[in-house]
Amino acid sequence: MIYFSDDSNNAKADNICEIINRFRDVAEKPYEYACQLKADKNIPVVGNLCNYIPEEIIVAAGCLPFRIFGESKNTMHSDALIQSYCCSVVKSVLDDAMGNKLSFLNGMVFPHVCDSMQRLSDIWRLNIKDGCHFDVLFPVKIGGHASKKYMIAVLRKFKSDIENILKVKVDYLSLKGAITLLNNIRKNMMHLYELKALYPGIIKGSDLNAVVKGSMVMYREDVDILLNKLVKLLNERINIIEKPCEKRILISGSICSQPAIYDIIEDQNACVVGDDLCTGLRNFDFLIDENVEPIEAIAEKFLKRLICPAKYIDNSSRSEYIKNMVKTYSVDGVIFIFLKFCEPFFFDYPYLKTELDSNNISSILVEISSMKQIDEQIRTRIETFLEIL
Amino acid sequence: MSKIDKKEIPESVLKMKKIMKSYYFKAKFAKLFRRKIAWITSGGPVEPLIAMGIIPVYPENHGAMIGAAKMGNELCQKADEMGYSSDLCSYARADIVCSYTGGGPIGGLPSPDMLICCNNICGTVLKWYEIQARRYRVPLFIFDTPFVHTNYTEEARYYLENQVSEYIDFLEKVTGRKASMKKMQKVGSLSVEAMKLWQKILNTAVNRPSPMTAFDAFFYLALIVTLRGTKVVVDFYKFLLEELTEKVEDNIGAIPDERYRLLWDNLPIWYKMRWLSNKFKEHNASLVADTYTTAWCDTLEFIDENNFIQTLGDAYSQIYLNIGVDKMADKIIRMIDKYQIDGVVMHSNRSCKPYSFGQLDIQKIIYEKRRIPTLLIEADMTDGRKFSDEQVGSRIDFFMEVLKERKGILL
Repeated sequence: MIYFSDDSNNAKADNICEIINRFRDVAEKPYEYACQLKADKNIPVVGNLCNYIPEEIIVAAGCLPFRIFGESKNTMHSDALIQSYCCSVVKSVLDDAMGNKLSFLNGMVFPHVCDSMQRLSDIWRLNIKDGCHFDVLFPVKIGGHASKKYMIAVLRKFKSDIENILKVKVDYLSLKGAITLLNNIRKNMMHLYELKALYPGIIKGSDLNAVVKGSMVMYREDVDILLNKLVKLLNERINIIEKPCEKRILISGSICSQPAIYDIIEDQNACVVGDDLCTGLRNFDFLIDENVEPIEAIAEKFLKRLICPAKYIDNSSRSEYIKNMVKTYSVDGVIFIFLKFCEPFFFDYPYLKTELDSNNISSILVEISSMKQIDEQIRTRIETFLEIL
Repeated sequence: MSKIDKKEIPESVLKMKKIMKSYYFKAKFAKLFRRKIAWITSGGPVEPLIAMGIIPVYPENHGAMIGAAKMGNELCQKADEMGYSSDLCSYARADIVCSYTGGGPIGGLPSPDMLICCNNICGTVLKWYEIQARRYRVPLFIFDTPFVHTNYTEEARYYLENQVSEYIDFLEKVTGRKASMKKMQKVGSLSVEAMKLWQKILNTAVNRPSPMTAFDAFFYLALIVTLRGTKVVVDFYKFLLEELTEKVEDNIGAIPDERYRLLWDNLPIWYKMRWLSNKFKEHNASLVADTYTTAWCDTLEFIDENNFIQTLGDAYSQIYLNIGVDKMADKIIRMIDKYQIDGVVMHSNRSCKPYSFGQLDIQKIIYEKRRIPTLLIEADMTDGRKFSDEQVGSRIDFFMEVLKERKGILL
């Protein structure tokens, strides 16, 4: 059997609150969850740091794709390995690894995205001896014949590497099964986002954030079960949503590690109706074609989905995407939430802001760190932005 | 103000200034010469451009000029006002500002007809060129070089081979002319010859005293970066090599009383070149080698001179900044042995993450393998707003004291 379902906890969760709490528990204590899962079921855990990794192959190998957000709030260990002008996610994750908090990992997959992540792979390989090391170097240039052929070759190599190194088998049927499972999760996630856009009060922003974060950590068959239930239960609530939302907000950035932001927004009678986040809709908005050869179908996903700014497809698709979201979801204002030192996102900002300004859409940039709580200054800036919106 | 007698300036410096002046003149007035201009990244494959008569222009070289002219602070301030975070690469920030304002030491670069971006040096260039492609509304070609953490894979080799074809197709489309493979090969041979000469020039520093320092290399580097593949570079480097060889024969060192031999890692701190040069000179320390300028000749092993275009991808994807930290450390260790280095000075460059992240591991490896001390100076290559003369000066003084003590003990 490829998949395991934790029926003791998840199958029993039968109301919205319980389901969300289940996701939140995992999102808040992901390392405990992974250790427990390994202890109970001996499932190999494969860590990752970005959406540009082929989760389907990891799931098909019977492993848990485990997104690491970083828990450390200080840089006690990582200061010895990386400079202060590195982004907080890289520092925090490295700190966790150095502090032996990630020793449960059977393997770690590094993508080819930003310069910091690229060097993190080297630093990790030289200093962290737990688990196996995989570099999955997708093309940076998305589009074109050469890029597609290379993407397929990289996916095939990763499949063979994971088989050889972790001593597992990834066959046609297991890949098909993984694609179907992850497509179901994506469909439900998209549905959740649609519900949130149509009925903003149906689920709190911080709850949706916990669901998304938890789903990137939790065993995927459990995610599927819980999401099915959650979507069903929320659909039943459509007619009883009372409070309308006055100001509709889109947030854009890499990862939003600060759920408090959603509460600050909602306290001002505003709500997040959509996002352009790596840990948000951008991770779910593309389904894999189940009628195509699995590896080629996975490659197609990465070639056709909306790119992250560390990749290149053309000079305008990101701004077009954001403008389109603004229009589709009747957005009143955009909050850019960037991690300090995140070069790809910061480079895009002046252009995106100009584009939004020319469409009379107000925006604000908030610089955060995954290692620090939202401070009063950020709170005040967001509140003021929402007041004058 | 330093009063240098013009007669003391080596002939090579005057020659090179003349060549660079003529190069920028041609680029500035390219339209008059009916030539197209391509902006290209410093680690990008320039040879196909040269072979097709396209003038290459280097925004990174522009960034260095801005830094050396001490105009970085003002331009970076302007970039802040335009919404670019001060944590971003200062070359990119300063160059982007010049594109909009016509500022900088040469009033901005001549407008491009196309952009060629090779990401073998960083991911930053991708964003930088994307911005410039929007600014100038010209076609952008990305030469995508997968990172070589451990092994150069067959998949990457095949991808690069395909991209070389795509690159030539792109140039043919933009220029409306057919590429000549014979010309490409000829340019490739000149490029290889220039790289070999550049290596020989850097090799002169193995002599005691060294006839040149890294500060000289930072200056003479401009030609191999901008015009490799042309005869003018080969001729100039032959001349420079003769000049340096004469100095070696006459036992003339770049530092009058050379006692300590250092290696510099990372890009120069352009706005502090003279200050740093004098600072090390005060301590009789000569920076005889550096990883930055060596990067333009250390992929010779991957190039088949007789099949230049076919092996172009292999070479360009395995340059110093596109390989794993341990491979970088190996190269440094080899340089330490070759140039008989006493200590390593690392510029932890806030503007260049791929060059700087990993330095702390390299520091450890150097100590483990050669027991040599390293000094880490945190700065920025062009934006000097956070640079403190006092702080860096005392760190260098302290480092040199350690070296003196060690040398004393070892002697």
